[in-house]
Amino acid sequence: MRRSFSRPLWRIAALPFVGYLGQTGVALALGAGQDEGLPWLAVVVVCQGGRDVQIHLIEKDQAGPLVQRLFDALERQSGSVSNFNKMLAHKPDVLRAFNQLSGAIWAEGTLVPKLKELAYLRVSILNGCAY
Amino acid sequence: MTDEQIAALKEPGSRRRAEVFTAEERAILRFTDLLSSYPGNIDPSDLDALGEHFNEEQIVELVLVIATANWTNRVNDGLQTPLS
Repeated sequence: MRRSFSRPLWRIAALPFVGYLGQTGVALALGAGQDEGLPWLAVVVVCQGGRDVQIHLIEKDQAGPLVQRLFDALERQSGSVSNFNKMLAHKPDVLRAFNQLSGAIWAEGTLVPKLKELAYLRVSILNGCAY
Repeated sequence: MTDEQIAALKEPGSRRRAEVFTAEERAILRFTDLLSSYPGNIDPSDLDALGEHFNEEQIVELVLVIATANWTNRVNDGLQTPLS
């Protein structure tokens, strides 16, 4: 085993692998030794997938003036700011534009609100979405 | 909406829908399912089916509601928005 790790081909293959694993945060254990005068690395890998990514919600006290203003308006409108809007706040212009669009779409029109709500609820169920 | 209607909405297939929803509501549900799941398969006959119950402006409003609902759900699912 040791002998095979000391072969140049193995070392060449192992080095970029170590770099890649380091970047993606995968656990690895390194062993070092000496064989025929050449250093080698034994790599024991426990693969845990990618980084633990969690997109954070933007709260009012972390937000810039535009988002604060939009959050104030949403609070006045519906009593609180939904997590969806706190997520959109990563892109303040999108937060503003989407709420304008949504307001226009849900504004009183010709289709009775009950039927719009029926369609909306069905979409959420189809998407398996609890939001 | 009644509990029965909500239960029927959650059921796969549409058999129970006939018992708890009006023809208008069923037309909306059928179109909502198509546009949300197989948008590329929608053809003029599907609009004709909506046209039995709704006028042009109402159909536009319906499609916009379905489209934004899907957009909202995809943003929440994609970014894994925590439930409040």
